[in-house]
Amino acid sequence: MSQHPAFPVPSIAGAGFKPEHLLDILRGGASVGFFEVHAENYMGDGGAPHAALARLRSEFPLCLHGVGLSIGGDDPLDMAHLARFKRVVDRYEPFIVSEHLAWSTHDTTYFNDLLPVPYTHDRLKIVVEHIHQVQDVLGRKLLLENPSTYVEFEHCDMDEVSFIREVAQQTGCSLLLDVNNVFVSATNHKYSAAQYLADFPFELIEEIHLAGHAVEQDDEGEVLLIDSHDRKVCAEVWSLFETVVSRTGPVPTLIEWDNDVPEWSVLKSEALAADRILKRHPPKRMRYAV
Amino acid sequence: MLSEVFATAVLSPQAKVPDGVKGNVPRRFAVYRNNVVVGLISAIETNFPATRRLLGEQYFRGLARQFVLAKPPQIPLMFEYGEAFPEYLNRQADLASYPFLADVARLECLMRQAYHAEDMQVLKPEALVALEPDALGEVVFKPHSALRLMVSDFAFVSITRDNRTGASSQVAQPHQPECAMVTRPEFDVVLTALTNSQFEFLQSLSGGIPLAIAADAAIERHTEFDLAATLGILLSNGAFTAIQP
Repeated sequence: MSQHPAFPVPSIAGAGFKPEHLLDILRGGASVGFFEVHAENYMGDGGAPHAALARLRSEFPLCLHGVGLSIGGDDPLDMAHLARFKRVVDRYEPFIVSEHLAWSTHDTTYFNDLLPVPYTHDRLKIVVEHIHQVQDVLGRKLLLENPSTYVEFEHCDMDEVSFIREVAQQTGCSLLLDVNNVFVSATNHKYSAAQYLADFPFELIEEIHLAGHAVEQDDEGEVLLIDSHDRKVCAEVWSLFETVVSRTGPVPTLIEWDNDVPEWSVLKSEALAADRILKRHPPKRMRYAV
Repeated sequence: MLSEVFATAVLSPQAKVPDGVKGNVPRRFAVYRNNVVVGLISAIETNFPATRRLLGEQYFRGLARQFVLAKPPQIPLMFEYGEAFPEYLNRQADLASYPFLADVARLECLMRQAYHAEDMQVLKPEALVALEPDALGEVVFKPHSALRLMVSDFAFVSITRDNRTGASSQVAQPHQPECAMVTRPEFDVVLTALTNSQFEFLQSLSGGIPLAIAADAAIERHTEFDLAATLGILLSNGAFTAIQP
């Protein structure tokens, strides 16, 4: 029997959960539709982190976002880590479970970053196999997130969207579209974000991420965007988001803000801005139920 | 494979951009190197606040950088990262005149373990009141999941406490042996300095020795041992979760 309330899937905006916001969140007022946490932060046995998350989960639907499964890596999946991941899924019954098209572990060393994947047919086989394993162990569908990248690889035989579409078709996974990542990668590698989104299999999008990025310069003095999650969402990303929502209809949309975390009121107002855009667009199709 | 060269280059500040990456893009590749190294340093800073305060932010950061390049994490849990950091501190020739540092860092590891330990009820002093005197002597305690014990040749409890609460970063008399008990009665970790006799007594109890036997041994070895007061300290700080059936 479920130990948590079952909420309807919120096709509205949510925010990344920061424990320092808990009291302000619970104090109520106009709030957001759901929260998301990184699974790895809740892999301890007990104590304050779990007490805070359990309290939050008693009032809000939750998304669980993994950062350490290394789905895009050469090495076999770390089954001990996958077991820890499943424990968090079982404990909090999230309505969405997601991970990244990236790798973070090699030969037992964990890099604590989302490292880039070469888009080749050989790599596709590995990623498909890993997602099958994850979905088998969790007994549920995974959402795969498109990455932000700073370098590209030689010898790729697919583009990113084709790679992602192929993974989804072969595994039955759904997609988490990070619009900021699209903008960051498209700017860094000089392709069109609008064209990327036009090609993206939008019928498989079950969650959207929005975040802020930093603007720097690369080796040739060209603009290099860094996916820093440390500020407000920029105007271009808001505009791309609206384009996406006009095609998908309302989809659970998360504001990610992980560094230089502001007061809850600032994060909440970003989420409410996303919510206003979502509400401008009618639903396109029936969404799955919990 | 690609990950092999990529991984090696990420953790080697002098390495060139790995083959297979498109273009001559050291600054772009450096974003990954920077994300990895800065993220791991930040985890070490979070996990060792007292050690950091003692060493000063800048010096600590330099040491943490060397450490993360030499001993990157082996599992994706940042709150467990740094178990090898105390030993790393211990081997730094420059820190030889601060021999207490490694023990402060070890204690911070234990406090972090306690913070994340499994939730358990705390055995309250009232639980003993109801027992008959004979039954009381035979009581065996079950340690709480958060309980951690450590001894040091240095005043590491006082130093750690002062440098975590922000009371003082002065280290008046470091060469004063201390015994530490780490507990977590609810969500906050509690650090308690015990006397030698209290510490030995707690070691006996948490090792499964019945109360009367542990108490007799403590009194025999330490004439000043105060059973009631010691039990009060242990129970009120949540050292145990239950009486063994």
